[in-house]
Amino acid sequence: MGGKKLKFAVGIGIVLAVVIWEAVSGFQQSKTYYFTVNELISGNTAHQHVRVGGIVASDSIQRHGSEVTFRLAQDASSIPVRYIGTDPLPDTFKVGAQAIVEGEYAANGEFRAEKIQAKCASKYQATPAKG
Amino acid sequence: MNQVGSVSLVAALAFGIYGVVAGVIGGRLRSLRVTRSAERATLAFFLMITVAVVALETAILTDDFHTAYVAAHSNKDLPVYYKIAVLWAGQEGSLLFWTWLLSIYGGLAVLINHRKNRQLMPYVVAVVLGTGVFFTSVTFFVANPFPVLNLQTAAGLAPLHPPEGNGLNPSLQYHSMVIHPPVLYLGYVGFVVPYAFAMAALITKQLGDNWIRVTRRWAMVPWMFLGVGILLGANWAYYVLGWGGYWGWDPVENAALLPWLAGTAFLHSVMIQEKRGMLKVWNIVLVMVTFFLSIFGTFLTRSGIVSSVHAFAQSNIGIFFAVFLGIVVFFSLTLLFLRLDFLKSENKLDSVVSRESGFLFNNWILLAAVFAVLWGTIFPIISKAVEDKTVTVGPPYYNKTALPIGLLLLFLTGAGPLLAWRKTSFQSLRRNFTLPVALAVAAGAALFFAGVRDLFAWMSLVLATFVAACVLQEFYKGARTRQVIAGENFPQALYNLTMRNTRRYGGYIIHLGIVLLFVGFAGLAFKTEAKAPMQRGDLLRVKDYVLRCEGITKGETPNYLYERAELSVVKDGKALGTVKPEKRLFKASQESISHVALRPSLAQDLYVVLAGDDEDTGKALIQVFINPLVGWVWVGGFVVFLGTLLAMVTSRIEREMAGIRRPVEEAIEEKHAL
Amino acid sequence: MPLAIALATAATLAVFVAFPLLAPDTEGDQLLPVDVTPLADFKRRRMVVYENLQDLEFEFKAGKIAREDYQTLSDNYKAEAAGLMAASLEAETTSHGDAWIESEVAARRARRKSAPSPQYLCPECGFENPLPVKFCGECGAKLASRP
Repeated sequence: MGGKKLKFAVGIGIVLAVVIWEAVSGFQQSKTYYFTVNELISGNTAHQHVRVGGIVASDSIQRHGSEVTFRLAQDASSIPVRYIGTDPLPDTFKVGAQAIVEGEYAANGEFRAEKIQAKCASKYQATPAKG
Repeated sequence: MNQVGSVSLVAALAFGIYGVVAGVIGGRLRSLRVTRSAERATLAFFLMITVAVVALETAILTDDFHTAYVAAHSNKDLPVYYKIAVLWAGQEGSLLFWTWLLSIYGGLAVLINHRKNRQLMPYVVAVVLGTGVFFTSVTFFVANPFPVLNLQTAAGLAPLHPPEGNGLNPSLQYHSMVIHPPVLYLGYVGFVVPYAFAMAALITKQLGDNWIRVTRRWAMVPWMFLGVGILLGANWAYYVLGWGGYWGWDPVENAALLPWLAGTAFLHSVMIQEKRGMLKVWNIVLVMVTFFLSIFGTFLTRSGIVSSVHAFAQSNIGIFFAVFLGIVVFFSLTLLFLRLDFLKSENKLDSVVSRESGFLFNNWILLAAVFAVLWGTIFPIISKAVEDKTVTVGPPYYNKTALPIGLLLLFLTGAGPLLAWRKTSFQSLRRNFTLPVALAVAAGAALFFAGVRDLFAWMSLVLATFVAACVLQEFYKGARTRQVIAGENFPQALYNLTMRNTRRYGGYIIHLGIVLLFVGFAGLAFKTEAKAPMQRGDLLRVKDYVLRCEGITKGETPNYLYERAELSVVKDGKALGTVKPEKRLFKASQESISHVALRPSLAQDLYVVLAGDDEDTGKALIQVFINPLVGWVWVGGFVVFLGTLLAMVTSRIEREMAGIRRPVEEAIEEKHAL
Repeated sequence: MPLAIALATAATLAVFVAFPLLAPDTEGDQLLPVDVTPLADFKRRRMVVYENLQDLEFEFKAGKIAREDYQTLSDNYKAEAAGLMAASLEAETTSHGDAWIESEVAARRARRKSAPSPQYLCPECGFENPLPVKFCGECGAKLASRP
């Protein structure tokens, strides 16, 4: 009886080991720190792959060819962002939208974004103002 | 109407609380009267929630913008079917809707099962209504859909009647989005029934396989809805979001995938208990995990605790869900430990090469998948708590993890059913596996020479061939044998074989559907995309397609401004007509939405998006994706759906088994006439 | 007006819910009946073993299982069924409630108009097998062969 359980455990063990190994390597590869705009400006995060959340500043979106630049703001501060990714920008990406950009903060102070997510799709909101 | 809604919620809450109390008392005293009263409370709860739902729908359909919820999510010109969907378009409404579905499941479970499961019923009622009370309380006290708008004036509050509402989010105005949320909710909610029966079995110490037999279909129904709901969501993402894919490992997508994976494990492992009387503890644990993940999924999508493409504002309902989840875990585990002595296995694992161990492997791998997805989904929360830095993980993590898991599961999908119960000798293995393995090897060689070099895609397609061969061989051998034994012709034999054991052969059809899904997933490896600013006369070559821009038009309708590109498509020298991707800017909400132009076929989809304008040259940015084999994802999903329906049909075996049970049950019922 | 209807619905439902508690009970307070008696459970488990045997036979005929495997598994299942039968005999002698149910079932069968097919009904002990079988699941006597 013990032998069968052992065989089964060894089988499962091998499978789980492979899965865990893949998971750990995938995890190292894709783990990304998330900051707000203020945290990014105050911290030393140059040359790291990070995600930054903020709001698309008004009148800042410019499109040249397939390139898009804008400023990502939080309160009074903002950073310039250049979108270099290949996916089309989401429909929800517009002035005033909450956006999460993913990429690298270059030494010249420009954020080179490979991916942009903008919040909107459904209007699940906290309770609206009641009277 | 708003008062009606609030009053109904209060009444439902009262019936719910009464039902929980009466259920527990009825169960403790074993009193038929009290139990019957508790059962009736389930129906009363359902009816009062129904009144609340009707009240909210009436407010929506009559454009009563005095109600804050209606003003926030609807507008006058919205088509009626979208207005109906407004019920679940917002936080408050969707919670009410969730509660309503729960009350439907609860009411039906009581109506259908109460005669045969007298002892379980009081506790089933208590668990279902306990969950119902929680959701009703959150709906009433925290996210009430019935408050009205008032204006603060010098003289006090004056009722505010806005002439028009904010409107439904444009990206939700898509046909599959109308049914996607209800279907998904039917999945999430439904697992409460098997969970309630499991808890009732634990409390009453009736831990044979009765609860499993009773809840077999009650677990299949939500599993099916959840699967269909996930695919409808993927379909919506593919057709509406315009990024060329259908699955992004978004937390909200993961939230639905988690209970589906756990439910899949449960549906498989219960068979071992029915057939062999093993894994009793395991099954109870699986049903608990599945129910927990369903509520957890609702919690993830509603609390805004993880960021996602679905915008969920940070909301205060998270803490209530956390407390409720804590109670569920505590209650479930305590009960389980108190009853461990009653959950001894009737048999032991005979051999590692057997159907039982195939199921066990499948269970472990599915749970590994659950854990991997859960870990990635909640890691931002964990890292924030541990090192005060939010760390997120992206698709590469999920893809790398899901790859070996998915392929292993696919392999077991084919191999498992070919193993005999208890043990399988090498000789038996050779009989069953020769043909599928030979076909898989042949397919592997053919794919290699056809130029398939992506390892994942190659393995998926090879395994898909293997599994399809395994399943079809089962049908073929079974029907041939019936032909010999019963002297039927082949189609007759095939039909009778299937109908005699719908669960097994329905399951096989589900497995074929899974094969098709993997064929679709394999297509991801051959995706091609191109992007170019275009104006009239420009050409864009992508793979074997040539697109020629015939013009860009801008215009306006009462509802929105639009920009439309017209492109003629030529493939291998043959003209395929024109595609017209479009971008719309809605006037009322100032939100824009793309209309993807699609040329679907089972071989490959041509997917064209108007991505934006180039402000310097005035050209339109056209993005083209060639997505091979995507269509098989939807076909596979449909096959899984059909297979599940078939598996739910009463089989001849069941009817034969019922033959002996019915007189016993009749006798019992007669003695205790209702 | 709608509010009045909602309130009336709630009140009606309250009466509906309370009714089983308030109604005069003609037979006194009844206890919840037992769903699965130990005897019924043994019997059902035995039926599952028969079902497994039937499946095994079918898979053997379909050529899915080697003769050697078939022999050992079939012997195993038969031993399991025998053990369960012994257990239910023991339960039968100790449990009165089950004996009552069994007699009730027998009486009911006798009253039933449509006679069960000879594939199911044992000529020796009168037991109605749930599946068409060659040998009675209760006493082991040979049944009429299949048509």
